[in-house]
Amino acid sequence: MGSVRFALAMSVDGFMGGVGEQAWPVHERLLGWVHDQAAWRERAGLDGGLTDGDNDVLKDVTANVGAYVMGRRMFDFGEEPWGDNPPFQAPVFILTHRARETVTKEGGTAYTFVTDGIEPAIIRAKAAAGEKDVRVEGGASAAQQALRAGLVDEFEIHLIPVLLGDGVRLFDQIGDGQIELECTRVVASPRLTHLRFRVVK
Amino acid sequence: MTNSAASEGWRNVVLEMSMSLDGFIAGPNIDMEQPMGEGGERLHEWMFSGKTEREADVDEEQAFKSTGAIVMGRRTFDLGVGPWGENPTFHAPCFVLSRDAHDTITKAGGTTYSFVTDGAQSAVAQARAAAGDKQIVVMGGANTAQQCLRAGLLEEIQIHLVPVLLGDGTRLFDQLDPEHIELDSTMVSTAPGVTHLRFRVVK
Repeated sequence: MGSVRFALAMSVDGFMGGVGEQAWPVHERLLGWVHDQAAWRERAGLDGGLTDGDNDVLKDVTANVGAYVMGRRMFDFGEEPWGDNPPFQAPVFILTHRARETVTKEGGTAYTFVTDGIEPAIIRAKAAAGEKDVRVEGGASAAQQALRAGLVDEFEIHLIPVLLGDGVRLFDQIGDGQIELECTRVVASPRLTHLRFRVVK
Repeated sequence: MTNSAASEGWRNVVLEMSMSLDGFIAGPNIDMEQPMGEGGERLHEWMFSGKTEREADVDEEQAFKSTGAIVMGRRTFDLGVGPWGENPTFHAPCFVLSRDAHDTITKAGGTTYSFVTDGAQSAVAQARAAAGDKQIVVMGGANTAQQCLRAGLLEEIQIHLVPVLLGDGTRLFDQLDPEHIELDSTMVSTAPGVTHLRFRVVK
């Protein structure tokens, strides 16, 4: 059975997104590096791209995923741009309060809407993923809920060397009590530092 | 100051803190019995990892050898002056940011505590004057760090990143201006229970 994991970019002061007018500039600052990598460009049907350390990590965190869990806001934002043949090519379980019929897309992606919370969503995702991993795709809320419920096995932080001052804090609402981690890998590139953590249970 | 001197950290003003992955430098409810707050001692465990207390002290003294002067906040001083004892490991002049004036306190081994009442810029300037060719370390607390950062006084930030999510406590990077502050990662290294990150503040 695979693991439940997430991989998110974060500023040194702990933000993984911007608020209001800052949403797009912060998205660019935190995720611009992804668009330069060969692995991402290939998936997006573009040529070229970098093929060193950052690309290796990106390939790593996107490989071996059997199912996804995501928040409704992220789905609302992405449904249209992802189109008829979305990049997931696997079942996607969306956390929502509003029930909706499953939507089957081309290429193996299916959107299933889960209304009874993070734990059922993860359980269903694990069943769908079989031997492969479940990736919590985002945003912050989905990752926080999964952490709070003790359902995350490991995660990768792409640490971006910037202090943003404000934004959407990744490690917020993660419950009372400390969560012990073990740092299992560090990959440093000139542009950012990738930190992999296992959640100690 | 030549470029090589700057790159070797001579006379640089360095913020140095142990921080949880979720950004805390102490747990909640700091008081004299719990100077690091509830659960906050977890952030210093890496310093003692695999060492006796004596060995950890020796390592700390070694680490401070490249430090010419220290800047700290009044609360950090109040909480620490007792535990740091009569012969503190700093062996350097310490400048304490304080609203209230106080006579300089002289300890054994070269540590002095001077109280600066006219702000972070003045404290850093006095620390620079006292530091000679060595670096100036801003050792906290969060309030002092934020003042120095907002005033553009920091040249480097060194974070000892501890693999724990504390959930609550004193946040290091708080009350900052909404303008982005770019950093340049200059060193990343790992040791048991900690990841050391060093950044240059891009001006």
